[in-house]
Amino acid sequence: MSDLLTTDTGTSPTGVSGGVSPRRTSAGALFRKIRTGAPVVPFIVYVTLGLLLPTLEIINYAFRSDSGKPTLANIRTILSSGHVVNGVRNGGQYLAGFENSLKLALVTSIVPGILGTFVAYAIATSKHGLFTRLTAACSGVLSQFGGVNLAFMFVAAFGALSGVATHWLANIGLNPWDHGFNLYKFWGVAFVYMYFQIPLMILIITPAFAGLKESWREAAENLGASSWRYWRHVGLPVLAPAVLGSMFLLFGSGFSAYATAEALTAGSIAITPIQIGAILQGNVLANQANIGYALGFAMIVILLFSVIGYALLRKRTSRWLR
Amino acid sequence: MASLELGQAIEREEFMGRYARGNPSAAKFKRIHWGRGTALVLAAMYFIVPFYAAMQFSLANINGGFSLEPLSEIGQSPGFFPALWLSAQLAIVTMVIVMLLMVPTMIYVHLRMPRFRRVMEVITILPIIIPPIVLIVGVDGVTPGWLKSSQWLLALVYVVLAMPYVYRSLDAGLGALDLTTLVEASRRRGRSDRAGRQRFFACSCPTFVAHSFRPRC
Amino acid sequence: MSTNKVKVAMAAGLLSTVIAGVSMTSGAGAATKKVNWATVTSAQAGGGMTALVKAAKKEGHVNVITIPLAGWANYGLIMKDFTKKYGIKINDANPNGSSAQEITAIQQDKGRADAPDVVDVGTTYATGNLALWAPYKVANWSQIPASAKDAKGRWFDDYGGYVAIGCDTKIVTTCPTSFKDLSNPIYKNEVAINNDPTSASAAFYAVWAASIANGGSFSNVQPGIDFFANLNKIGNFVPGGTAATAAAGTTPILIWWDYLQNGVATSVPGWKSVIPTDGTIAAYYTQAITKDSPDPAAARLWEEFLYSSLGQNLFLQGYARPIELAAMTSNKTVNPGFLAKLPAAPKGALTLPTIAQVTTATSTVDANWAAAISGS
Repeated sequence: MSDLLTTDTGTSPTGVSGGVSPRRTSAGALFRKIRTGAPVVPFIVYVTLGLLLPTLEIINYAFRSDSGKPTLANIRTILSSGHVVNGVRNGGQYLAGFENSLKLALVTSIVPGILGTFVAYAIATSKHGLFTRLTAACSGVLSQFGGVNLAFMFVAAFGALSGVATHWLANIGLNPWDHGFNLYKFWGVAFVYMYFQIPLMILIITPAFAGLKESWREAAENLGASSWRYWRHVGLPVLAPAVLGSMFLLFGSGFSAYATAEALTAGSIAITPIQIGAILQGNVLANQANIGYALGFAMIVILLFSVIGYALLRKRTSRWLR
Repeated sequence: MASLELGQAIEREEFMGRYARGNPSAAKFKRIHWGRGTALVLAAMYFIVPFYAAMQFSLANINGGFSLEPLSEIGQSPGFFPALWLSAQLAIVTMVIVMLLMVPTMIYVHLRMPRFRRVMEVITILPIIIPPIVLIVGVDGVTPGWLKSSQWLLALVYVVLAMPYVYRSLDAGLGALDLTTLVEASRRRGRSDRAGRQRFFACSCPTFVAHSFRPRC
Repeated sequence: MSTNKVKVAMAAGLLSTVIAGVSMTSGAGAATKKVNWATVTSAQAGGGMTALVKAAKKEGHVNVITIPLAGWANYGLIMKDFTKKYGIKINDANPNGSSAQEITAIQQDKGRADAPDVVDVGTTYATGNLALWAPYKVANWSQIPASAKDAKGRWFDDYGGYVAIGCDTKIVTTCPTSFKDLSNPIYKNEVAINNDPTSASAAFYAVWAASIANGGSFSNVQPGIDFFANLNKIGNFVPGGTAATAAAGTTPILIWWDYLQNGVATSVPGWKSVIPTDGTIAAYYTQAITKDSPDPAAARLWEEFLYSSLGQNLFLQGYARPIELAAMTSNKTVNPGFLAKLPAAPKGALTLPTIAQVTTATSTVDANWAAAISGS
């Protein structure tokens, strides 16, 4: 811990021209780089073993046939739009799965993104410390919610036959099921997804509000700007990268959520994680394991885009946080 | 640091007070409060109603009344307590491993390798996006046999799944801490480096603890 | 030199003693030849049942997989009885797992001491992975119908049942007895199958039975998909159905295996089930012994136990139909008390779809189910 006072960026200058001291040779610089990076090694090793290697394994299986030979057939199968034989469709369900998954991810990233931002703003500008801490804690817990628990809660609340909230609303003549609501279809699933997507958004976006300084608002008020103009010229431009970046994250979360949709719809809507589950953990689709891995590989590729988007926008966000 | 924020807060209070006194914009502030309140109430309802419904469902007895019987029956359910105990153990072990892995790494990165923060952030985002159901198969493929039969393999995988949330919390906490200044200050006050390290941990531990208990349960 | 000669003589003597000793041991061994049970194809070939039991007891344990401990065809009691009779411990991995997970476990646990010895899987998982199985014909091999086993002995069906419609008489006033009844508007939001037909075998066969009731056949499962799509459109269909939802009252009408309906009946008073009058189909699960099984003798003994009349009657006690039922009824080795409790089987001989038909139907359901139910 001897050079803690220096704000070292972690790299040493190399190749200084003319009059180079022995310590600044490239070998010495490399050694210093390694020494600087050494404490991070446990983390790197863990992530490699626990994340990178399994991912490579999945990619490996995705491109192998049942007999182990390398093949592109799995990829072709999942991307095919199928054909109709005697009025019966054959194939194409994976493409439909991607479509539905993408739609669901989009909806459950934009809507909770906007709603979450509002709620987070309300929390961030609140003066009641207890309220802020309470919601921060709740967001942390609720963002982890999902799966069978969540599905059960919503069926208990909004189920057609025995839903508690359904009964309350039916008593005032507003039974949602009579007005086209269906908990087990696309919009019902999106409705349930918001339960963990909104807290996730709150969790991610709250630090960004620290970059939106109160003094700017006061300065704007001082200069006579209305609330709308403040937001248009100051607030939104500062927040936008953070909000968009967080939406990319929400997209990833909504795309890969499995247990909730499975418990709620039991496969009634075709989304990719459920299809993977049916192949890899089911009792009907025998000998299609490699298609399951190919689907997993496809999901990783799609989600990679959301990660890249998030990373790029993060770069712009951090500008305001210094 | 703390005094700077306090100063800002005092300024803000005076400023707001001046404005509230007979200023037309004060009405605007009240209106915003109203909208904010409604939004929060609606949000609260969305989150609480399913909870309440689940509770009512579980605690209603056959005749429609209220009964705590199902709760007592939980205890009699075979394998419930061993499963609960195992879950608790796994959670504790996961937390310990995550802390041991992430805290020293992140302190070091914040102090000495700030550019690596971006890389870490991208790496720790990956567990959110790689669907666990797919990751499991990959993990199964690379796990050595002796580890596969152990129940602690679960804890090791949970560590990976918890990483995104732990990273964000610690990052926020360390960012708020202004580590460099703190270390410098504690170093200035202490005679030896060891004393400096002790002071450093004494100041920063409360923040770590607060942030570390937030994620995975 | 004389010392040299003595040394040589002693060495020769020592050597011959050793050789004699070795030949004596191997001679003794030849009388009880070492059997490699991993390649034995029947108890007879291995030296008889006594030899099998002895070798199995020596191994001491057998690794099974995805066998539920309770509520599934009486497996809990079967495992207990086996251990009591032979003193061989049963290690049950992943009791609530699926057939796909059994295959994955075999592939990934290769060479380990806790790799699965035997599997109980959906038939297509067995027929699609022939390279994984060791051929073995149990003593009662002839009592298994020809269509329910592999000619070479690599896989063999064990128990099964018919698709049945269960009904909670406390919630539903008139229970449906056929697929046609299910379309009645009085059953709004009440009808369920066992979750997802692309994932759960019982749900898949429920769709097939519905198909048979609506003009389909072993070669055509699409009418069944259309039937449930219509049921969903008129609002009668609820996605997801298990013993838990039946007990909770969210799925008062549940289409499931007849032997599992009885499990529901124990936790839901007033639960009745019938085999539908207009569309019937039966499916059997399949046993196989893994080729690289770590406990080959114990694995074979386990199969002998399951296919003995004792084991088959234990399945019957769990309301499942053992595969040897027809033969046992004519031999009078069947337990009449258990037999009487079974719901009445449809008339006529038991016919099962061929593997090719099952595979085709699987692809059709896989490609069309979600689209049909979500209405798109």
